[in-house]
Order: sequence, then C-alpha cells, then structure tokens
Amino acid sequence: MSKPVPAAITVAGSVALDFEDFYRGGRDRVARALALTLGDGHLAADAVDEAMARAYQRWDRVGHLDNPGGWVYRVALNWSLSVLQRRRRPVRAVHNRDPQDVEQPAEPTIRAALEELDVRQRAVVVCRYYLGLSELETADALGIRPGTAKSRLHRGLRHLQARLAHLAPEEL
Amino acid sequence: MNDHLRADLDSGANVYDLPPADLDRVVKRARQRDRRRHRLTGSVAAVALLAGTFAAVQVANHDPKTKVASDAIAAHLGDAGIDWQRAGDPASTIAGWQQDMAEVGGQTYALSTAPGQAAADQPQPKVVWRSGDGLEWSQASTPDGLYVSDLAAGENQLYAIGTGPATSVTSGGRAVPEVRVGWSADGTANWQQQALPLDLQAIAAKATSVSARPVGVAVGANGVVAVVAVSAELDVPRLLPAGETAPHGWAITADGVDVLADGPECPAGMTIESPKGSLDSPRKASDTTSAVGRQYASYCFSPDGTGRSVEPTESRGVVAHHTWSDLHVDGDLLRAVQNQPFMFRADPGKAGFERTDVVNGATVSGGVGGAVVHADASGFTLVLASSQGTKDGFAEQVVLRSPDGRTWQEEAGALAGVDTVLAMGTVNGHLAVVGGGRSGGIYAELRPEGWQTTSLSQLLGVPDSGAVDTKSSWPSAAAIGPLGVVIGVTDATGDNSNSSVLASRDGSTWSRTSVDQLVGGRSSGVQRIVIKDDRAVATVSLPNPDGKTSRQVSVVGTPR
Repeated sequence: MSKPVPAAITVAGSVALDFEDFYRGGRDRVARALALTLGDGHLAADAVDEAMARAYQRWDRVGHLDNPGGWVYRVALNWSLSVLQRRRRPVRAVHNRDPQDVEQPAEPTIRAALEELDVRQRAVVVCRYYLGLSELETADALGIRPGTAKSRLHRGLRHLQARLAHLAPEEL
Repeated sequence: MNDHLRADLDSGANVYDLPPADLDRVVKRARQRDRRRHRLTGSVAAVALLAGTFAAVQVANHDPKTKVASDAIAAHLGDAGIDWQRAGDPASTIAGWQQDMAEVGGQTYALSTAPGQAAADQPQPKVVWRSGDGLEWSQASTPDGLYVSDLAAGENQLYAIGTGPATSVTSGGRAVPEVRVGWSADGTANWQQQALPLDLQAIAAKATSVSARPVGVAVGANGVVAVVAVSAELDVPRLLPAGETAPHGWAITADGVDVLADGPECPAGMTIESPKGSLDSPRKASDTTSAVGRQYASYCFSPDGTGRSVEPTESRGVVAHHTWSDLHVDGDLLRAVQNQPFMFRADPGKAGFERTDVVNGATVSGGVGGAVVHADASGFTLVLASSQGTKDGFAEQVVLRSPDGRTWQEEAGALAGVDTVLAMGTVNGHLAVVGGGRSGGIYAELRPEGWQTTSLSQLLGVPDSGAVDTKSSWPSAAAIGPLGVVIGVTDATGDNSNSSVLASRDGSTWSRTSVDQLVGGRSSGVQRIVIKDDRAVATVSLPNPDGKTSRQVSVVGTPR
C-alpha cells in the first residue's frame, strides 16, 4: 500500500497555478526530492528557493508548463551541481561499497542505496518514484530523452533491487 | 507500481531537516535577480501578506445533500452518526504513514521502524508494534531473521511475511534471500517460521538476475495465503541457438523474444526530441541510449508535436524471433520472466505452505507492481497492480478471488480508476476498497453487478477534472472495520489544502470533519487510522511552531 503523491507537485498545467499555491504546496516536496538526490538537505532547500525565485520571475511561462514542479526540480538540480562543482565536492562520496560486502539480511537504508547510484540515475528514480512523475514527465522534467530516462530508471531500479531485497521488480 | 520504493523514498526524504519555507525570501530573491521584468498576477503580492495567516481552516462550501454521480452508490455528505474529538497526546507512538496493520486478541499490530533508527547508514528492518487502543504503541517481538513486509491476523494468530536468510542463489553477485512466513499464537512471544517452497535456483540458472519479493499474507477461515512476486531477467544470449547473438539487444514479447536489428530508436518521420523543446536548455544530442541487452519502448514525436510509444521491434526491426518454447522457457521461469505472482496456501496455524496458481492462466499485463491480499468470510481477494500501467504511469488493477486460497479466478470487471489501495474490508456484506486513482480518492464496493465506485472528489464537491496527474482529493490513510469506513483525505482546491476525515457507516452517507479544526492547527494530514470495535483513531501529523519538526496527535471517532 502506498502513500499518494500530494497534488501540488503534479498538477497538470492547462490552467495556470497561482504561484503562492504552487510554492506552498510544492516547495518542501521538491526540496526533499532534491535532498534525496544530493544527500544534502540544506543545499537542496537553498537550490529549490533559487529555482523558485526563477520560477517567480517567469511564472507567466512556468505556470503554464505541464509540470512546473519538475521544472523547478531540474533548475534546482542543475544549480546545485554547479555549486558542488565550484566547491569541487563530489555528489556521491558518502557511501560507495561493494554490494557483496553487505551482510545478510541487513539492508542499507534507501538513502545509502541511492548514494551508490550515479546522480543522473538517482534523479530519475527520485522524479519517478518520489515526485510521482510518469516516465515521460520525468524525461521532460530532466530535459533528457524518454529512452534515456527509461534506461537510467531501469539501471537505477536494478541496483536498488539488488541492494534492497524488499523492493519490487519493475517492468519498464 | 513499486509501493515499497515509494515508501522508502518518503521515509528517506523525511529524515532531512529543511529550513522552513519562506515565500517573502523567495520573492525578494527573485527581485534581486532582476533579470527581466516579470508579469505576475496580483495574487502573489497578496500571498506574501497572507503568509502568516494560513492556519485558517478552509472547508469547502458544499451542499450536504448533493447526490454524487458515481456508478451506483448514491453517496452524499451528511450526518454519519459519528462524533470526533481530539484525544490526549500519546506518550508513545510510531512514526511513518499508514503501514500494514492486523488485529488479533484485542491488540492491533503495525509495522514500522524501530525507535531511534534514523542514521542514514544503518540497516532499518521493520519491527512490529502493538497497541491496545490505537493511541499508545509499544514494540513487540519480530520473527528471528525475518525482514517483515506484511502482517495478517487470524482468529488467534498473528502472521508475518518477509525475507529471511540468504539462499545459495545469487543474482548480480549477491545472494538472494528466501521468502518466509512466520506466525505467533502468543502475542509475538514465540514465532514459528517456514520458508515458502520456491525453487529460485532453477530460475536463476537461466537468468542474469532474479529476485523474490514478499507481497502479502492474509488469513481466512479456510486457510492462510501468502503471495510472492518473483522477477527474473532472462539471460537471452545464453539461451539463443548455437552461433546466434544479439549485439543490438532484444525485446521481450508476449510469446517470446525478438532479437533486434541495428536501427533507430524512432521510426522514419519521428524523433525522440519533442518539437516543443524544453524551457531552459536544449537536450543534448549525445545523450543516447545504448542498444545493448533488453530494450524497451521509446516515446517518439511527430513533427506536429504529437507523440506515441514505439516498441523497439517497430523502429529497429527484428532479426529473429524465438518463442518461449524455442528457448525452453516455461513453468516458474516463465512466470518469473513475466513477473507474475506466486501464490501459496497453508492451513491456519500449521506449516506446510503449498503452491496454488491462478486458474485459466490469468496474468497481469506487464507484471505485478504492487498487490494487496485480503481475507473475509467469503474467502480471499487479491488486488494486483500491473507494473506496466498506462503511459501516464498509472497502474491497472486485476482482482482475483478465491474461496479457499487453493484456486483463484479473475474477477470480471477491473477495478477501474484505482491506482493504489489503502484499505480493504467488508461494508454492507460487500468487499469494499479505499484507494486513489488518477482523479483522486475512490471508495468502491464489489456488488453482484460489479464494482460500484464513489469519487471522493465529487463527494467533497471539488473539481474532478480527470486530467493526467490532477488530483483534487487524495486519501492519505483509511480503515474499514466494525464502525464503518474512515478515510483521511486532503483536498487541494481553494487557496490551500484541507485535511479531513470522511466517515460512513454504510458507504452511502458520509460525514466530513475538518482535521485542522479538531487539532487546532494546520495539520500535515492523517497518517494512520485504526478502527477498534466501535471507535476509530486517526493519527495526525501536526507541525511544531518551529516549522522544522512535527508531532503526532490523535482524534477519536465514536458512534453517537
């Protein structure tokens, strides 16, 4: 049984949202998604606020996108990666061990397992399964081809399933 | 659908302490950027002014006697005869959103993480919690070595299904754990266990990866049913006839494997790029998919901007086709490749689980993503969500029924519009389901004429646009029990989202009570609902004044 995705992140965009509704309804969700991707909650919050500021500047366009939450996520992710690059800090330095080293049946946490993924795979997994975007929306949100999103998702899920035994196999 | 992954991600994301949202700061930041003149509705400025007043409770205006245009259930808002009040704050509770629960011997059992488990790099096996009143929870014991994923209760026994010790079967260099069922007749003091009879070795012999995931366990008068989802990725190059290779990958079809030619991802006249493009930056032409191994459908666009899913066999061409028979793929291996459920049955309180399969070869298109198994007086119900779903990402549901857990039949008529299932039970003598769909929350009853549903969005009087991913209302927790049906629901219309409890004794007359009014603040929604006899306990997450942390408070509903 699963917890549903809050509406504010995935509202379709044929009717423009009020920016305040969008910010209040979606800021924390997007920030937590980015925190999962980066492993850094404070950087994620700062990046999402930066992206939200950009969304505010161009709300007449962003507000009509199919998925403004996905747009904010991507802008925030790109901004974060550029910040990290300037800091010369790798995104995935926290947890990187051989899966075979793990004793059974103990499992790593989802955060630890995510950190073993390439950040691009992590972003796809987070968009698809945390933000609740479809594969097409995930591709659109990240500015990549649907086939690329599908491929990254497949590889990411395969790794997570190998590390977290209770996860369901996913047909892509 | 991968509900466990979603739950894990939710849990992982909630560990982060975020600085509080601050709309004023964002607006100032935007103005400081001053990159271009922005056009914005006047409401934004008003928003910032109203930022401190959002504790105000919003209740949608609604005619309580308006009939809802559901398929058959004439549902309406009214007086369900249930009164709600806030309970004293619990001294000990459990974190997390609604988890699997079971009730036996007057005690409610639930799965959650152990207290204090918050470190990112530490294992977080779920533990069993116990409550006598739905308010206060204490930790109970868990079967040794079992990573529990579902609970069920019989007349006097508690059952748990999960993954156990690693087997000798390896997948990707890692040992695959076996799936076990444990049961206790003395309130979790002592557990017995049995590994489910599943030959993973035989499946792994022809696969590059294999996994077995416990889906659920249910206890009825006529037996105990356990459901496992087994998945395998076929090692196609090893199975091909001698001398044949698949350098450009392969695709799995309904009856076998297509070996692909070296072709483009999209057919002539279509592109992988949307003509619409993206707002911020062009897509990178170098960002390509390598056509090695199993290939999947791509989404391709026509020059007019319309798109469709294109199977790799259509765009790339097929060099050779091999049926399952050609490749000697059959039996459990084929079920695993197609990601179909494996069912097991035992007599209550006894070891001896045996395989029981679906009659008439009913299969779930695209494989099983998520599943819920339920027992009542009439037998067992298994709701299976296809992991393939629609292109919008919503799963399609298949409902299987069995009187005794030995033979299963597919229920005629799909449970349409339901993507996730939060609660199952019996109402008016009918199987009832609370779930979420593409348009919001759904309450459904399985009547002799088929599934009859009520849209919670319509019930609440909020728009039900039916647009992709537009959710006017969402149930966050639900329970069905002697008191009736209780649903924690959030609707996102108006200026803000509102959290309510919907309650009904008969599935027709529903009362709506504002949770925010009950708890005296703006809540984050109902996390968990327990119905014990004639009262319901809804646990609500309420942010603390610091905006960074939250606490749990409970509201109790009792019949008038």
